[in-house]
Amino acid sequence: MEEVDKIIIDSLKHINCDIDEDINSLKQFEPDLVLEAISSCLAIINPDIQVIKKLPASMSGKIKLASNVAQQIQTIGFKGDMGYQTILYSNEVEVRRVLMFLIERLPKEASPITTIEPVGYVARIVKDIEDSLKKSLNSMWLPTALLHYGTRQISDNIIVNSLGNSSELNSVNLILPSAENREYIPEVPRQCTKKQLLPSILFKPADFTNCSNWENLVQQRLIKTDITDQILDETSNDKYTESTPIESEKVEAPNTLKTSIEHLKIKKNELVALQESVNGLEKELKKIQNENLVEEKHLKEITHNAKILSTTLAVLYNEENKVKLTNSIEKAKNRLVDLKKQWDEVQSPLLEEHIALKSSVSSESIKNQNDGYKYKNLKQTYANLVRDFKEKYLLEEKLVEKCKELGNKNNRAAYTKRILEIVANIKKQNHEIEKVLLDTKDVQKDINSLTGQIDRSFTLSDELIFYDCKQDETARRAYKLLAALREECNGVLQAVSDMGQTERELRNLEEQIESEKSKGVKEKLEKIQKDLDEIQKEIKLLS
Amino acid sequence: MMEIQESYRDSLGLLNNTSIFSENLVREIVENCCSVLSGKTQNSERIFLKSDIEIQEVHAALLYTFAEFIRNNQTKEDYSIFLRNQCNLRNDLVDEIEHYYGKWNGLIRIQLLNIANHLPHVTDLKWKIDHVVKSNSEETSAGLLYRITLNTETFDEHLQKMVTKALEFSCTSEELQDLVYKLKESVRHLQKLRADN
Repeated sequence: MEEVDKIIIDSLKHINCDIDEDINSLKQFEPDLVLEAISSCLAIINPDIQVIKKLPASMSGKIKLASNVAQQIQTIGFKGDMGYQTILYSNEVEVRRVLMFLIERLPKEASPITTIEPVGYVARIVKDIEDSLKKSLNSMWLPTALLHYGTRQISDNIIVNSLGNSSELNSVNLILPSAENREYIPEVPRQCTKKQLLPSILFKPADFTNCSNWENLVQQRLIKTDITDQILDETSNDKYTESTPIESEKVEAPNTLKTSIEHLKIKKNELVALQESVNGLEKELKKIQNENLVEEKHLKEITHNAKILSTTLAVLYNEENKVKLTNSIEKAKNRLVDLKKQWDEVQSPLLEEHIALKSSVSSESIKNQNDGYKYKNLKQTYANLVRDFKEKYLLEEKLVEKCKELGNKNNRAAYTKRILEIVANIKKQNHEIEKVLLDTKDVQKDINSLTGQIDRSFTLSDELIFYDCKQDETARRAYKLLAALREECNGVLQAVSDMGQTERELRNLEEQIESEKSKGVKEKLEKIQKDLDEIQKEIKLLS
Repeated sequence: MMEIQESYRDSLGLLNNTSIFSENLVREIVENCCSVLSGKTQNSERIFLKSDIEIQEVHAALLYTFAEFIRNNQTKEDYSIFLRNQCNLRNDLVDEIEHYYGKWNGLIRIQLLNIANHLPHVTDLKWKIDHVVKSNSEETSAGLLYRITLNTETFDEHLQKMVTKALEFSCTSEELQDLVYKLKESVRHLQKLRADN
């Protein structure tokens, strides 16, 4: 059964069933594991079935789930006894039967059904690309004219067939209206082209002004210049686009616009020049500020040093302080002496203790050494004992083997049985031989009596006819015939006995032939002949 | 959950002000936003007639939030949750805007898909064969010469629309075979990708 269990567990592992390495037989299967194994198999056999791989906590839930699973197994065609008890109170034999049935039903190419979800950004993107490729290859081709901006919708997904409508990501700085910024700003869609709108809303163009320290100031200015630019552009555009014949009534408007544009341009130039000068000044200011910082640092250090010096000098020039200092020095000296005394007091008992401990440690070490020797001796004896034990063990094994061999040879009971059988056979055969001998004796007796009878009847008839011979000629002839008959009969008898003898000889000879045949002389001869042939061949080759 | 700047949230919050934003005006603003984002030209003069800065603010904020939400593949439910919870808009307004979001989502997404660097899209091909009988140049060998014109679609930045451009070249039969082989190989590669999946 172990082999079967191994095969089952191996198959279960193959279908991504989570089984511990320690579990080797179905005996170790817990109800949870049984359910998981069964439901994994079911999920592969019939992917439409909804399977739960964990037993719920409540008993009723367990029974419901288990009987559901049992039902499903029976619908697949399991003939044996199958109920919730098979899963919940797992009986090794029943579980084995069910799992064997399910594993036999698994599709031959047991490819794991669980689709591997791609992990990671790149893998997912590749998967998406594959999906959309599949969809676009599966869908019908359409000419570009029928596509909406080069795209088409296929079941919730948009597929881009032609990129003829797409432009590069090109964003411009949009000025968004806000509560603080109440100046006139053209509405957002008019600040850029149609294609620039989405990129500009979503992504700001690269703006390096944020690197500046004077962020707010510069930004404000930049925004202002931008506005002037845009107003300029817009007005010029307007002029360009709106000067259509329809609006020819407004002839004067362009002139005023022109002058105002020029005015604006001049102002702008002035602004730019001012901005540049401000930039230069800012740089200088920054430089000066840096220098200032360094100088301040230096100054701080110097003042700190000066403070220390002045305090020390003040202390030194005071006589009282000097006396105080000498007093304190003396006090410190006295204190040092006191401390030394105290230290000696503390030290001496500790030193004594230390010496005592040292001596005890040395005695301990001597003891330890002795113990070590003892331990070594014990180890030696242990090793000797182990060696002896091994030798004895080997000897025992040898003896056991010998004993086994002897046991094999002395199979006495069988032999005596066979001997007894043979003896019984021999007895039976003796009995039959005796029977045959009796028969032959009877036959011999019959033969003897018959020959005696013949002799007697011949002599009787001889006498009878001999008496008549003298008187009757026919009797004489009869006598002659009788004599001839007698001779013939004797010949016949002789022939019969000769025949019996030759038959006996023949039988003997046949037996001899059989025995010769049984010796296998013919085969041996053939072998010898073959060998001879080969030798002859070799001789030929050599010669 | 996406993070939308506070300024935009505040701007959208202005929609609650019924004195400026009547029901019709809101509808017009949202519709205008949608059609602008989906690449259609829309006459917006009527909306900005009042030249209220609030209208412009709301317009800009709607443009931004629509684009940003669609870029991040958010559903209309996500957008309505954002309007309701983060901008504190009235329910009827949220429903109205959500409706437009759902309706125009696909078209705006198409515009987003159309932001890309790309190679010209080949739509058609014309060809003819010439035969060089004699040439005064050493480089051109006598033989067949294929003249090929690929019709391609590409976006013209200047005209702001799609134009058809012809890409012309001539090649020998070996070079043509090489090209055809490469095209076939790429087709096979695509089919393999499809089959693997």
